[in-house]
Amino acid sequence: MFSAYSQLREKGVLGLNQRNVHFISRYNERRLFPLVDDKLKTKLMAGEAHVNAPHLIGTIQYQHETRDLENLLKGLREFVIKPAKGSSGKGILVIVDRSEDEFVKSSGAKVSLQEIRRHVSNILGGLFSLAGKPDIAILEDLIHSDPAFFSFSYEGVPDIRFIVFQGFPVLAMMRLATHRSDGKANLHQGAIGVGLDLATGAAIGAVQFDRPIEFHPDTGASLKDLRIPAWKDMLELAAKCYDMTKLGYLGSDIVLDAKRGPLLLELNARPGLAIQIASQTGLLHRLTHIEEGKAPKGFTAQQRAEYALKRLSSL
Amino acid sequence: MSSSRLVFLLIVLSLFIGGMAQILHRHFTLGVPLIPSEQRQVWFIDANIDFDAIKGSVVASLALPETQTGYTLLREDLISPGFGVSVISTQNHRRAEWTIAEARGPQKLYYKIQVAADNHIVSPPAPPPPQDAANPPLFIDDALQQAIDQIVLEATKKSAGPLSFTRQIIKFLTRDSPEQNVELLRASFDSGDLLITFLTQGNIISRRVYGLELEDGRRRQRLKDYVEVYADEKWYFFDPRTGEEGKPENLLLWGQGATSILDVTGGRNSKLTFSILRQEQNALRSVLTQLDDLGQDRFSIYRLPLEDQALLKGMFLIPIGAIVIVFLRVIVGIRTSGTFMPVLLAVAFIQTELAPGLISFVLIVGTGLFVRSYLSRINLLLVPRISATIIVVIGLTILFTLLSQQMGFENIQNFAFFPLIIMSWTIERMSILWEEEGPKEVLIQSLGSLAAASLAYTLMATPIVRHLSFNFLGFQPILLSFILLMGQYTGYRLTELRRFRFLTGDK
Ligand SMILES: Nc1ncnc2c1ncn2[C@@H]1O[C@H](COP(=O)(O)OP(=O)(O)O)[C@@H](O)[C@H]1O
Ligand SMILES: [Mg+2]
Repeated sequence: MFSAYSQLREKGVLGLNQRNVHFISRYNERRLFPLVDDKLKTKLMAGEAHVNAPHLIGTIQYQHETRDLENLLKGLREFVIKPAKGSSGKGILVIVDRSEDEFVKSSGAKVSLQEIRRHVSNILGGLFSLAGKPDIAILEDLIHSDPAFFSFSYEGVPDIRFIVFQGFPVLAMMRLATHRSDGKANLHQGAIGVGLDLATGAAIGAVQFDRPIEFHPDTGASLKDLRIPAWKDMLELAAKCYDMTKLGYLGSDIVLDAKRGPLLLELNARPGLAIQIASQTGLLHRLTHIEEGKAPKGFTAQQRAEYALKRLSSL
Repeated sequence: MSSSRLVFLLIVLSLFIGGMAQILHRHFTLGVPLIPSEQRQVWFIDANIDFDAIKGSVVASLALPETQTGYTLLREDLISPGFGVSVISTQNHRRAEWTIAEARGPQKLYYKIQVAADNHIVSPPAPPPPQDAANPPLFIDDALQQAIDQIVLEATKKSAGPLSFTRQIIKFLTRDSPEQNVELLRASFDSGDLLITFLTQGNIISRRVYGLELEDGRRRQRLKDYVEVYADEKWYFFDPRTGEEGKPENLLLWGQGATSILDVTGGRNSKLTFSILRQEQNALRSVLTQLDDLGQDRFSIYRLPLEDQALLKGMFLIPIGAIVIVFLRVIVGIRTSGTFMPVLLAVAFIQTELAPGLISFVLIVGTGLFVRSYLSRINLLLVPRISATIIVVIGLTILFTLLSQQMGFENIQNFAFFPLIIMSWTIERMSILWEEEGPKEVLIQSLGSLAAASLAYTLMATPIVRHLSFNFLGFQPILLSFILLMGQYTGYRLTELRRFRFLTGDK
């Protein structure tokens, strides 16, 4: 047990306690949390900061508005409804097609307008938000995954999680939806995490439920062949999120849309630690490098992305 | 070390030292024990004296009990509206005396004591009786006297000393089909008097003692008389009705050395009855009562009314639960459903005991989940759905209570101890968890919660922990200092050693 402990230390693995005490509470000001805990606020903020994100079609705030849902959805073939304060994929309804009054979910299952209405009213009632607080439903554009990922993700859009420390991207991982995860790219629901080389955007290793895995269980694709296109743009977008939020220890989730390129999906002020298992890399060495002031200060997002690519990736 | 860290450590240290100091002070200067003393039984005994006063002055005198083998006299009170009272010590026993110059009609006097069962008390051997303390002989006619002589002669032949002689006599007297003479004697005198008369005939020193059988909840009890026989410089105890030897454990001797128990001059129809109540008490209580009497213990929760005490005791235990949760989450790293739900569960377990509590909780939440799965199929908003769940939980609580009563279980109120809202939220959360993350996560979190609750309960129910938290306020800052320390623990959690095992290369 003690040797396991010191091995983790040596590898520079960040544990939950240290993350909470040392990084989150020290570098993330409490008053900034609502900016990222509320996806609507994040989206509006991103709009102001010229950070690309999926288009907001509309919001639903009051129960009586759910009666109008039909109007709101008029002419929409594909869309996504999600709770503003949801987390870990809860309450996200992805509609990819529609025939009259029937809507097709990403899984292929069909839902009626009535069921969507009920879902929205559940969102407003706070079913998916923390402590059951009343919430707002966000209606936004469907993201079309980049063809590069077709064989890697099952029924869902993969996203790329960056840990951004004081504006420097330090670790990256792509999350692939599986049948197990119900088309959602959330690790603890069974999505696959593929650790990415910060220098190239190529796969390092992959995990499902914190265990190493080689092939996608649904598509059979060899996960180590994964390589992210437009890697530098992605790093830069991730780095920009720091300037936008001022959160020192940040998780930026970025998707690659087939048409619009990298888009900010959501931000997280308490990003998880499985990313270390996926990329076979402990966070601490890179974090300490920056914390000890070895990384230059006053860089732009672009310069920080560059620095991450060239220097941090080899730590 | 940064200065803020230094301040933090100083705060932790001073909380710890402050708490320790309070505990040690209470222990060493006030004598409050550090480990819980055993529970002991305390008997609350009321002696009620009733009589009718004949017009004029009255003196009522009652022989009093003493601390004796097996029992310590904790306190006594004489209550008597309008009477003057005093306790008089005669050469071999104490008496209470009530006096009044003018009284008429029915009178009531009370003498109340608290007696603690105490195995350490052994009274010194009673001195031998004075030579002239002969028991007054009964008035007996010649025919009977002859029968007595006959029996004494026979018993002497069969016995080897005072004790076996006594046994022989009792055998004669208590025989199922006695001779006619014995039957006549038995009918005319009470068994104690009779035995003593025989013993006196046989030149054996004996005396009469009175005793009260202690039994919880008894009212209108009376004293019974017994006989003690002096042999080998000791007194031996006999029950003249059964021949049993040795003082029964639950017998409190009353007025040892007194020839009469109750004398009332100026009254008639006097009657002495007892009511008896038992309480389990911490022996510590008497230390505290003493401190209280001396005014030295201003910070004891035992000074508060009983109801407030119960409330505070419950509160004092919650930090124990909290520290367990902190430990399990920060050091071990287990997941529970709702951070402090397990603590509330543990508090409920204190009322229900662990096993019945666990069963009740699992029954209600399990059935609740089942019903809730129907609720999730019909279209309900969140708040109405939780409200419905609450009502379902109430219904289940009532149902299970009635069922377990039907089936003859003892702790039928068990189900009512769990906080309703907590159970409803637990059901709600579990059912969402089930829908979204599957039964495995539900199982992990429920087991985590139940394990945490059981551990918290086990600690909260441990006598030493309870003792410390009820009697030493200093225990709380010490707990706080540990919680603060754990709050700064940045090492890996035990579960993380396993979680990250694939990172260090070994499987
Ligand atoms: N606009 C969208 N188009 C397609 N899929 C989406 C969209 N928004 C979310 N998703 C899917 O849902 C998952 C979770 O969404 P996200 O916004 O990250 O919410 P959460 O905070 O619950 O993780 C994403 O990883 C993605 O697979
Ligand atoms: Mg997400």
